[in-house]
Amino acid sequence: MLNICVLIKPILDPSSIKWGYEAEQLGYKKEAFNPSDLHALQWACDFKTEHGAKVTVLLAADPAQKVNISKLCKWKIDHLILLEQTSLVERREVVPLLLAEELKQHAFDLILSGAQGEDLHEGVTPVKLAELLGLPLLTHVHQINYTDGQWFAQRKEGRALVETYQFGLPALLAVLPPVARLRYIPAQQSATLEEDLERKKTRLPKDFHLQLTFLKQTEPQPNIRLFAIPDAALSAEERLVQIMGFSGGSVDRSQKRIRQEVSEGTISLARKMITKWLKEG
Amino acid sequence: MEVVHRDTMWNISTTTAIIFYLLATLTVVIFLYGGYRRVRLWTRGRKESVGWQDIKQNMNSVWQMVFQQKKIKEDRAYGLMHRFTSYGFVILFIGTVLVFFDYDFNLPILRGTFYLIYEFVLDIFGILFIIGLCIALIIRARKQRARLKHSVADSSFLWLLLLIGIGGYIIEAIRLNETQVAHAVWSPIGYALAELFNANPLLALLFNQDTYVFWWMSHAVLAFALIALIPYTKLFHFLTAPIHILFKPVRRTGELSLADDLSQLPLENIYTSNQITGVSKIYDFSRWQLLSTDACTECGRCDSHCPAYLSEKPLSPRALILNIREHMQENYEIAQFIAAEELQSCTTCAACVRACPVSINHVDLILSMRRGLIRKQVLETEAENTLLRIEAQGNIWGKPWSARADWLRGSNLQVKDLSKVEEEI
Repeated sequence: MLNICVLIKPILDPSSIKWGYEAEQLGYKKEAFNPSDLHALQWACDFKTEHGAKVTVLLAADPAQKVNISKLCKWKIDHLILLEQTSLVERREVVPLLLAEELKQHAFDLILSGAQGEDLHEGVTPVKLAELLGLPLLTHVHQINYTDGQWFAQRKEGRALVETYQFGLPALLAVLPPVARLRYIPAQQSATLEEDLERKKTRLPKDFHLQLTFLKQTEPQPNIRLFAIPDAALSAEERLVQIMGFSGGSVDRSQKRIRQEVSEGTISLARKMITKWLKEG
Repeated sequence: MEVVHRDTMWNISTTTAIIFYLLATLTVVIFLYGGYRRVRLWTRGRKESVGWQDIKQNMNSVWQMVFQQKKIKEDRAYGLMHRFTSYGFVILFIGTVLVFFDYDFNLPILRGTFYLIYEFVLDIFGILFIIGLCIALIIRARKQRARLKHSVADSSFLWLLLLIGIGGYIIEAIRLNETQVAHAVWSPIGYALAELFNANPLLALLFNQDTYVFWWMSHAVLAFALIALIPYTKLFHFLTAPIHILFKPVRRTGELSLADDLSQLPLENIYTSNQITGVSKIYDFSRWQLLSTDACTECGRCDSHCPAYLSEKPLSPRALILNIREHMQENYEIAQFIAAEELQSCTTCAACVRACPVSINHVDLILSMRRGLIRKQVLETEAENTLLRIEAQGNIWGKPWSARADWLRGSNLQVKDLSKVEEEI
C-alpha cells in the first residue's frame, strides 16, 4: 500500500488579512492552511479512495500559533504529525530542516506539498527538502497519473508547454491547485484524530546558526515627495502636468523633498496645498 | 307482534356458516399480518416524536382531507367518484360491522325502525358506491387522466369492488324475493332487483333460493379477498392516509427537527446524528416518513403538477415515493434505486405537496436525501463550490470576510462592534 505524506503549512488566511494602520499590525487574522497543500491532501485522499493508501499529514508550527487541527480531521487521514518549534514564525528557513529530520524517520513513498505558500509565495520548502532528503523533485505539478504501476506527472512550462515526466518512488512533488478539485466535506464527517495525532516538540541542532535575523513586520513605507508650488503664471493644466511629473525633467528629485514617514506636519502641509490648488482650479 | 329484524343467515346451512367463519378468520389473520408487516418496517426508521400539539393542528387537515376530501374534489369527476366510493365503502363497512355485532354477539341492534332506516341508508350508499366505481372504470377506459397508471391491478381492484357491490344487491334481492317481507320497500334497490328477478324467467333461474348459497358465498369470498389484499396493495391508503394526516409531525418542509435530548448534546454529537447528516439509507428516514409512503394512492397528482417532471427532468415524485415504499424490507442504500439526478432536479416548489390528497411531503423526503448526498459528496460542482466558499469565507461569493464592512466606507452609518458590546455586557 502506498505510503503518502502530505506537508501542510499553517498560514493566516491571505485573502482576508489586512494591515491595520491604526494598530500598525496585521488585522483580520484567521488561521487557515495553505490552499495548495489542501489540494495535495485532496489528491492523496482521492487516491486512497480509489487505490488504497496510507495518508500521513506533517505540519510544522510555532506553539504560539493557533493551528486548528480539527479542520483536517474531515479528510481520510491515517496519521497526523505536528512538529512544534518555538519562534518558527521569525525563522522560516528552519522549517525544511525540521521536516527533513522527521521525514527521515519514516519510509514515505510519495511526499506531496503545495508548490508555494499563499502567504509568502516563495516555494522554497519543497526544493530544500528534496535537497536534504536526496529525493527527485518536480515542482508546479498540475496532474499526477498512476497507470499500470507507473507514475506520471505533468507540469506547465511557460504559457503553452506541458511537460510530462515519468518518475519513480520515492519522490517529492510540489503541486498546484488543479491537481485535485477540493471537495466539500460536511463537518458531521469529522472523525477524531486523537489516537492518530502525534505532537512533537522539536529542537534545532546545536550547530545550527541562523544567517538571517528577523527584525519586524511593517507595511510598505510611502515615499512622500514634496513639490514646489508651481509658478502662478502657468495655466492650471500646466501646473497639473508639472505636479504629476510630466515636466520634462525639471522636477526637483532631491532627497530633501522626500519624506518616508507620515507625520502630522506632512499631512497638514499636503492638506493645505491640495485645498489651495482646488480653489485655484 | 314480531319485531322487524335482519335474518342474517337465511338459507345458510351450518356447514356453510362454519366455512364462512373459517374463511373470515383466515382473512382477518392475513389482514392483521399484512398490517403488522408494514408497521414493523416503519418502526425500523428513525424515531421522531409527535406531540399532542401536532395532533391538534392536524385535526383540521383530517377534516378537510379525509372527510371533506377537498383536494380530490378539485378534479370534479374524480372527486365525485371518490366521494361516492369512499363514503359508500365506509357506510357499507359499518353496516357489515353492525351485522357482525347483531348476529354473532346477539346484540339487538338491527331491530325495528332502526333496522329499516339502516336498510334504506345502506341501499342508497350501496348504489352510490357502484356509481362511483362505474365512473372510475369509465375514466380509466377512456384514458381521460394521463396521470393514472393503467396496470391490471388498478382495474382489477375496481372490478373486485364492483362485483362485491353488485353481489350484495343480488343476495339482498334473492332474500327479499323469497321471503316476501313487508318491509322490503325499505331496501329500494334490492326490492327493485327482486321485482326484476320475479318478472324475468331467466333471471329467476339464475337468482333464486337454490342459487342463493352460491351468490352468498361468492360475495363473502370476494369480500374476504378484498380485505386480505388491503395491506398488501395501495388499498391500504384508506387506513394509512388518515393515520399519516393525523399524526404527522408539524414542521416546515425540510426543517431539521432536533429531538429535545439531541439539542442538549455537544455539537459533535449533534453533527453525527443522522437527523443532520441526512438520509443515505432507507432506515435513516423517520418512522413517520416511512409511513407516509404507505399512504400513497399512486394517483399521480404529484407528477402532473411537478415542473421538473413536466419538463422531462429525471424526477418523478410518485416514482420516488413508490421506490422508497418498495425498498423498505432492508436497509438499502438510497443510491441503489434513486439517482442523484432525480433528487437534484427538484426545484422544491412543493407543487407535489400541495397536490397530494394524502398530504405526503415529497419535498421533505427529497431534502433529507439531498443532505445524504452531501455527506456522500454527490452534489453539483457549483453547489459544492458555494459550500466551500461559505466554509472558507462565510459568504457564497468567497469574498474576504474582512471586506464585509467595506460597503460602509464613505457613509455616516454607525456600526457597533458586537464583540465590544459583549465585553461591555
